[in-house]
Amino acid sequence: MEFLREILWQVDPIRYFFENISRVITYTQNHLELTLVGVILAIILWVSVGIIIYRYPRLSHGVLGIASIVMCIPSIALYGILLTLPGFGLGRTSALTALVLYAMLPIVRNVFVALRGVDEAILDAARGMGMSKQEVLWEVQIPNALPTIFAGVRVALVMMVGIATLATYIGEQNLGRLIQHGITRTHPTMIIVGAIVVSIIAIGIDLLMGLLGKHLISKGLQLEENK
Amino acid sequence: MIRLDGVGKDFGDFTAVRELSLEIPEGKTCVMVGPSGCGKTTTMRIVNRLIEPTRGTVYIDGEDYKKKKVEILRRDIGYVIQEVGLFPHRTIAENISTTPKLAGWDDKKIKKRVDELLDLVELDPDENRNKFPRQLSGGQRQRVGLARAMAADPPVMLMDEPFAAVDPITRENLQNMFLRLQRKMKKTIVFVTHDINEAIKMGDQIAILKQGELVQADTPEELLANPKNQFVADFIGVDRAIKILDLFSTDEVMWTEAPVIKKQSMQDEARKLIESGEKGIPVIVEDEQGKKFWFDLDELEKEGSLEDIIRPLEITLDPTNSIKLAMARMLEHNNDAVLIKGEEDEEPGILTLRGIRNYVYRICESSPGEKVGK
Repeated sequence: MEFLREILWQVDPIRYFFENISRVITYTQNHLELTLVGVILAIILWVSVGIIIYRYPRLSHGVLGIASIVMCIPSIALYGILLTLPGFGLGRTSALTALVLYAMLPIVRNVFVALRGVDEAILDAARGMGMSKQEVLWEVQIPNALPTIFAGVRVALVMMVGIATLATYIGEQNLGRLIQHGITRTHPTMIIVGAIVVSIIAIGIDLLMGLLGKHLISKGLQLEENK
Repeated sequence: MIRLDGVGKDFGDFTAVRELSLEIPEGKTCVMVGPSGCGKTTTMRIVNRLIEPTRGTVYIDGEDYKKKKVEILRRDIGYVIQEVGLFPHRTIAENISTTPKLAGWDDKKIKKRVDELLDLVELDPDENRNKFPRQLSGGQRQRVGLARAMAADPPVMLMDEPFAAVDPITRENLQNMFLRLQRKMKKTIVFVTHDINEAIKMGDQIAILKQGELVQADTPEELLANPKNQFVADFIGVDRAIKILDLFSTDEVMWTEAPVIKKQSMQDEARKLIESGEKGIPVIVEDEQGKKFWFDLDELEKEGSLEDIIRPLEITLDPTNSIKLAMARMLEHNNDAVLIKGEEDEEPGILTLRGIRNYVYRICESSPGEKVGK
C-alpha cells in the first residue's frame, strides 16, 4: 500500500489532486451546481419555446435564428457582455444566464424538429379517436419526440459542463479556477488536474444521461422496426 | 344511421367535394369508391370532423353532429386508417385501451375488453398484449388497429383503405375476418377504397364518386346490373359479368323444385315429364345407393338417348356459397351442375351452368352497360 502511494506521489497531478482534495471537491460541487441548475432552467424554458414555435411555425425562423446567433458568440465574450448589463454583474446570475443561452440551440431545435418528425398517421389516429389537442401533445407527440429531445438536452448538458469552466472569470469558484490559476502562475499541474476533472465530469454526465434515456424513453421506441 | 346533407368542402379555390347527400342505414357498410382525387377520403373525414365541411352538415341518428363537442363525437366513431397509426411508444394493450381510457372506464373493465378484442381480431392475448407495435407484422398491426377502433364499441366506424397496405393474402384474410365481425356487430360503416373488387366484397351499398360528386349510390347488385353511365361502367370494368358471380349466393340462382326420379325407372319417368309439358328444367336422378345424377330435359328431347346425357352430380355446395365458387367447381370437374345442400330439412337444389348463364344475362341485359361491355 505504502509502496503504491510512493509511486503515485511521483506523478505530479495525482499528488496535487490529493494534497488539495478539499478545494477540488468544493470546486467540483460548485461546478455541478451551476450546470445542473442551468440545465433545469434551460429545459423548462427551451422545451416550452420549442413547443410554442412548433404550434406557431411562423415564429420558428426567428427563434431558431436567434439561437444560432447566440451559439456563435464566443463564451468568454458572452460573459463579458452580460457583466455590463444592469442587474447581472459578477456572479451566478450572469453565469447561469450564459449557460441557459448556450443550451437554447440544441434544445429548442431538437424539440421543434422532433415534434415535427412525429408520424402524421399517428397524430391523425390520435385525433380521430377523440384526443384533445393537449392530450395529443402530451400523450402522443412528446413521448414519441422524446428520443430526439433527450439527445438535445444531452448535448446541451455536456456543453454546459465545458462552458461553465469559463465562468471562473466572472467570479464562479469552480474547476475553471484551477485552470485559470494554473495559467496565470504557469503551474501546468494545476491546469492538468482541472482539465482532467472537468473531462471526467463531462464524460460521466454523458454516460449517466445515456442510462437515464434508456429508462425515460419508451421501450417501444427503442425497438428495431419489424419489416 | 348517418345522413350526409349537402356536405361540401373547398380548399381555397379547389373544390374537393361539391355537394354530397347520402344516407347510410344503420348497421350497413357504405363503400366510397372512385379514382384518386374524387373526394372519397375528404367525405369520410368530414364524418368525424377531421375535416370541417364548408357547407352542409351530417346527421348521426337524426342529430346534427355539430351540436356535439368534437372530441365526444369522435369517441363514438371508430377510426381505422391505411397506415394504422398505432402509438409506437405504447404496448398493444395500451393502444387498444385508448378510447376506453378517454371515456373513463375502470382498469378491470378495460383489461377484460382488451383481451376480448384481441380474441376477436384473432390474436392471442397472452402473446401479444405486452408487445409493442414495432414487434408486429403489417397484418397484425392492422388487426390491432381494428381492435383499437372497436374498443369502446362505437356504433359508427370510418375505415380509410384499411387493408390497402398489406399483401394480397393478408388482405383477403383481413377482409374475411372483418366481414365475419361485421355480421355480428352490425356497425354503421363508411369504408373508403379505390379498389372496386374490395368495394363489391365489403359493401352493402357502394357510392361511386368522381371529382367531388356522387355519381351513383346503390347496392353492389344494382350497380353491376345497372351502371348509371359510362363512367360507372368503366369503373366497374369490362368484366362486370364475372364480378356479378361474386355477388349472388347459390340459393338465389338454383332450381329448388327440380323433379327427382329413380334410376331404375328413369326412362319412363323422363318420358312422362316430357309428356306433361315440362321444358328446360334439370332433372335429378337417384340410384338405389342414393348416388345422384342429373340431366337436362331439353337436351333429352334433342339427343333422345338418356344414357348419353346423364352425368353424375359429384359436387355439393352450401346455399351460402357464391355462384362464382360453384362456377369454379364446375370448371374444375368438367361438369355443368352442382348440388346445393338444403337448409335443415329442405329439399336440396340444383345449380346448372345454363341457369347461371341465363341469370347473369338477364341482369346484364337491358342495362346501359351492355353497350359498354365490348
